[in-house]
Amino acid sequence: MKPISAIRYDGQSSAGQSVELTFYSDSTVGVKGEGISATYRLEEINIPSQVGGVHARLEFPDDSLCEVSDSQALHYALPDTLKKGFWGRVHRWESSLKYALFALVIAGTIIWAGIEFVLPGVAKQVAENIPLEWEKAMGEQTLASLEKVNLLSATELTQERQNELLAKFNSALEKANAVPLSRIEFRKSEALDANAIALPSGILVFTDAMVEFAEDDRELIGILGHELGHIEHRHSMRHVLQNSALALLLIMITGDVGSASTLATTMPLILAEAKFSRQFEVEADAFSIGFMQKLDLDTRYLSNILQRLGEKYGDSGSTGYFDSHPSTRDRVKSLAGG
Amino acid sequence: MEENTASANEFNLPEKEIPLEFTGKASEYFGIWIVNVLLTIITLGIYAPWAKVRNKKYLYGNTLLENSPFDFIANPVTILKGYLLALGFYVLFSVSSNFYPLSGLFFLFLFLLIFPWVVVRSMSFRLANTTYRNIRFHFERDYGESYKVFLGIGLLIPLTLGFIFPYYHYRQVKFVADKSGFGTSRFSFDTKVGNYYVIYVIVWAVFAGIGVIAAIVMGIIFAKNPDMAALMQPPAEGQEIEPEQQKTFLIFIGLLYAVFGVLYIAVFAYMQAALNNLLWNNVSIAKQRFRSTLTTPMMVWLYLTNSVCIVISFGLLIPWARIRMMRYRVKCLTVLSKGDLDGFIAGEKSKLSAAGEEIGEVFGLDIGI
Repeated sequence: MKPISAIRYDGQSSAGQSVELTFYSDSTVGVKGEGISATYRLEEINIPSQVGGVHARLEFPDDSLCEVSDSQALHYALPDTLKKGFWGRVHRWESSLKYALFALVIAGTIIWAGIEFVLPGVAKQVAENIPLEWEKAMGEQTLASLEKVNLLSATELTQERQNELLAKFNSALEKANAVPLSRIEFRKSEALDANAIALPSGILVFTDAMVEFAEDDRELIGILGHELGHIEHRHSMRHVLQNSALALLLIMITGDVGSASTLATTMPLILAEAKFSRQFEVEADAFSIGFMQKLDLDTRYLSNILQRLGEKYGDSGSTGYFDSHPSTRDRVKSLAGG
Repeated sequence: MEENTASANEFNLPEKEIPLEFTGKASEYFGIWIVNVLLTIITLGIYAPWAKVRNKKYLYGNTLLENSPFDFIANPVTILKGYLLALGFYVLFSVSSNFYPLSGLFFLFLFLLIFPWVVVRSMSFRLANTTYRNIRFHFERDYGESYKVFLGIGLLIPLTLGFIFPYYHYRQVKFVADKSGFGTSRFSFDTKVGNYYVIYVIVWAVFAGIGVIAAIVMGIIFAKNPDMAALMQPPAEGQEIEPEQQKTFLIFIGLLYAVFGVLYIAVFAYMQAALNNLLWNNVSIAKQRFRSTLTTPMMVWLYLTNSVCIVISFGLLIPWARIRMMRYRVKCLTVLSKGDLDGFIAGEKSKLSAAGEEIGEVFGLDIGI
């Protein structure tokens, strides 16, 4: 067989030497050059799997190395047994445009299915098996830090009004046989304005503006049902799980951690997180429907207040990819349907 | 000996320019990248270390100096162990800081404490597994010096309100470069601290300038359009916002973000180019020096177009962007050699686990070298 030219490095110094490699039919390899003539058995030579078209390497038991710039020629010279196996297959796969496109389609499908179904499904299963009490420190510290940065401050509602609402909420919770909440709090907030938030471990916060915005206390029961949905479905825990898993997935795709913080890769992260958030809102709305039905309340109380909130805060009317909530129109529509 | 007689004449030897070459192709790299992604996903991440090694083998193997490629010879199993350790650490960190936000502080403290150790392990692993002409690079594991630089000088940064930062950066680079070697030869980094201050003062001045200009521009716009200033405030009771007005406001905010985004990339590109040039133009090993000629405009162009192309291609152009950046960086680096590259002698081999390297990577640690 025709010899293959290579450069030999003895492993002692960086000086290279031109040699010729000959592959014999008795599974031996001859290395010949100026002042060197050696024969090795094929099985004692380590040939790392080929990556792209980089120079091929043959590592000999005496720590010497031969680099072959024409990796194609070496490929033809090697016996078939060396080209099979897992890494030979991986190399052929990487080298073929057709197979690479196939890999692209499969990878794309898996990523899509993972984000769409697997990730939310697994996170749900895991979250539902974590006791709510575990979130206690998380909830308390979140509330404390919101107060610290002045997002929330002491309520200005009268004690009477608070007691009246708490009594209504509690009787509704009892009647609907809902999850035991740790507590319901009222807070004043300029930044959040009319809003209600569900914190980890089941702490519900209504803002003063929200209480004042409601035209009927039954609307607040609807909101209570929605926030209860966030707690019942463990949304804060699922949020943590899904976003951590998403970050790991992104690292897998881009291949390093550093790039997870660049603009190009945070974009899909933001989009996926917004999508998860919208799914949570839909779930919470659906929960509220069931909650209100148990109380024999018309779901229009919830859709009315959502409608007015949407008008006040300038809802664009259609759901955007970056939105954390579905559009008011979509929400009101599904409330009416249910 | 031969070496002594050679060194007597070295001063008079002319310097030979040996350019580095990059032969990687985006189309070829795309195949490697997408197969890496697919196998990593379907093995739930187990394949990641093999993906990493193949990726580096491709990039190193296409970087040629005098027609010889570099190579990355790390054992993926070692990297896998490092990954698992790092993953455990990451899970512990994110779980506990979610349940107990304050525990994040404890981890931060712990991380600061082990950081200098991680740097040494990480550099050591990376270099010991990089070879050229069958000779390994290496990194001297000088933990004492690492703690002195990264923890000792690092702790002075808050005390000096950050003014010591350029000096800190200089000492980091000097530490990493001086402890690096190829075979039995050592790299040596020699430059004045002042050069680091020049780069940082320019960056600080640009940021200050941007702040001042932005304040003036906003002031003028708001003075001329009181409506717009009103939009910055939460709407008062009963006040209606016209959709048309809101639209112009959103366009204005969007433009503002775009301008700041480009400026940010420009400053980042300048730092990359300047710091890289400063390093390579002042480092030497044996009879070799280097010349690096990265330019800011070219780096800005590459970063900008790469980011845009990656976004609009949904990430499919990541391999193309990487090859493009690598090609430019390699093209700008030249070895200036008195004599040839044949005189390097192999040092002793050492085995090292990857723990340091992967922990460093999980926290996005980049030592800028």
